[in-house]
Amino acid sequence: MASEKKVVFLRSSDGEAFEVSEEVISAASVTIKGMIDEESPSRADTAATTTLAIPNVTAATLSRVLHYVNKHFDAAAVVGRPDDYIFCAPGDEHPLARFDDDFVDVDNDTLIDLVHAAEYLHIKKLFDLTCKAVADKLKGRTIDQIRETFGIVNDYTVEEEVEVYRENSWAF
Amino acid sequence: MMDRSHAASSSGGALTRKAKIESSGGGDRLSKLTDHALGHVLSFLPAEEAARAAMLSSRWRHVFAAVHTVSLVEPEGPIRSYDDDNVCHTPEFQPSADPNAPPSYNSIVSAAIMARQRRRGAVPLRALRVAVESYRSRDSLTVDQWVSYAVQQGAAAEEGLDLDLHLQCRSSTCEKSPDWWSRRSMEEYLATWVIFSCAHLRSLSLSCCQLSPPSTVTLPSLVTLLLSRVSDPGSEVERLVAGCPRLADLTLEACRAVTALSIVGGARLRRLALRCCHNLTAVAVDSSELQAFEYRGAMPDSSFLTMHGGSTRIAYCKFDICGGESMMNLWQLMQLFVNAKHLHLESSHLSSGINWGVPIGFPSFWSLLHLEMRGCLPDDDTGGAAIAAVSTVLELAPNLETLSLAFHAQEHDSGGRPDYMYLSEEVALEAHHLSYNPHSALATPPTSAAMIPCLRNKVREMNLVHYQGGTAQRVLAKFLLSNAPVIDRLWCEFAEGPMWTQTQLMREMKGWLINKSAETHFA
Repeated sequence: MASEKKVVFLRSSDGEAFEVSEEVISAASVTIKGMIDEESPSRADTAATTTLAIPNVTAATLSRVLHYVNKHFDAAAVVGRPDDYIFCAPGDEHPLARFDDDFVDVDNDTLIDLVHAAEYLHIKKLFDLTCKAVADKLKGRTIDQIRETFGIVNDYTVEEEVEVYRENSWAF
Repeated sequence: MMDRSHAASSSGGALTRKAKIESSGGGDRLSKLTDHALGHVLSFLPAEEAARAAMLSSRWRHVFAAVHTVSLVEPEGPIRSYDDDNVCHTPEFQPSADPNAPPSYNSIVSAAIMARQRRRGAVPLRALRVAVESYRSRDSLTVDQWVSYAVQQGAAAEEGLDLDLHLQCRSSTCEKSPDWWSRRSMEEYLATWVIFSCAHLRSLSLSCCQLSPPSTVTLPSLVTLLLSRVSDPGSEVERLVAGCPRLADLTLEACRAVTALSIVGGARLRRLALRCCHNLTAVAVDSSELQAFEYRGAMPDSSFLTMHGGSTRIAYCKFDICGGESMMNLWQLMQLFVNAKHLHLESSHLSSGINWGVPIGFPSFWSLLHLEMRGCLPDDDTGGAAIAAVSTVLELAPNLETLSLAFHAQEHDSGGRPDYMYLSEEVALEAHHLSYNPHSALATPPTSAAMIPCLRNKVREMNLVHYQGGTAQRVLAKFLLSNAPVIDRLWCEFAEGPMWTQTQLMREMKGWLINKSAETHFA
């Protein structure tokens, strides 16, 4: 069927266009599926391909996102039941687990760009993966260590700091 | 979503500027994420750490309201000092009246819940996970309040609610004393009925509780249920399950009062796990959708399990047999699992436990791709019995692709410790050292490998876990590796020990490999 081979182009914020299967990206990204659905009446029965602007995501990030999407959402990989209970035997490592580990083994800025893109494009699995990877960088660290790692500037006054501490004293 | 995308494509100029800022790098990028993203990040952390993030900067002060998963696990060891005055200032979460009571972890849990409640616009709760090590019966109202809060706050969550309560009693009597169990049940938490009619509850895990569910349970969304050390009989568990039409995953762990269990005519389970329910003698299950079955405990009777609806879909099967009993009965049970793709057999002793004769006419495991065997294989064993045991199963698995062997530390059995507790990693490692003797001669395997077609043609991957390098283990490894020409991946994790010994063992193993270009990984 022709519809299976349809592709769309995604144009990054810095103007680079990426080709991706319409079926794959629609399964992955709620946002892009919405864009495609909106476009489709006007391009019915035309051979013209669609280019969608993704103004919030740079080419570097978008190419990473599409690498992920093609791994996780290609037709062969899309299985599972509608009620999404998927059983995986404990000894059988999920086939994409190693890919995922490598995928988020990147510097902080790249990782944060990916969180941002996953949220904007509404790709739930990628959002979960990248947010968890950020959490792993925070886990077990002191406030000062986290500030240093991510360049967070403490803008509290001393009085405010005491107040915030009191609000959360149960957590210390 | 559509509005956003529309706006995005029509106002390219402003967004290009934003993108430039994004790509320019530097500065505090993390804090520029949305509350939604930061809340999701913090949801992967213990609630205390998530709350402490408020100290980072003013950007983070109220991010805790965007945290959707609150996890509170009482640390082991001495209870931390805690200032009651700062937190419990509303009547809702008054600490118990006893002024001499030591500060308990309960007050921290209550404070965490309050901290969410206090902030307006908190996102719907997706999960509340609480593990308390010192539950007392007087805490029951407090726990009821946590549950009520979770049920009420989770109602708006699209994903449904996960509730996980582990309420370990601090019991004065020893577990070995005869009345320990009855005394304990007086102290334990009686689950509030709010739980049993929660329409959006998706996952429920209750540990060290009493269920006593109402006559009508209505849990239409519940998919996963774990009951650990609940004191109810099987009939109560059945009553609970009967109210869960979508239940897919059921685990029962150390439920001593459960003697019989029937899950037929309602939920169609995908996975059933029964661990250390030592008084359970008969299980009947609607198996028409069952994909996985796990069992841990004493050798079950051959009539232990009745499947209604066949067993053709069962892809994963695990038997972990405590004690050194004969596994003869297992063959009869195993007939139910001949379609398994992944079989996991565990027993105290790798050789004696599984050294069982196969009944004549036993069918082959045609679908079996991954065989995992775990047990101890001590140095005083020659290895012949282990080879016989492993060969027995291999001969029945003509299409096997992956073989995993895990060698337990010696004396790995349930004697002397509560049967529901697993060995901590430290204890396991301590008993777990290399026992390599470079001068011991490796006996020639008595079994002919030519009899094992899967080894000759199919097995591509072999994993050895906690390889101690004792004579018996080396004999077994040599037998398997030098008879498996198509192996292209060997993975071996050594027991603790000196590097040079590990290197010796690694060289030896590489020498046995037939396919010299196989990918190897030694750790």
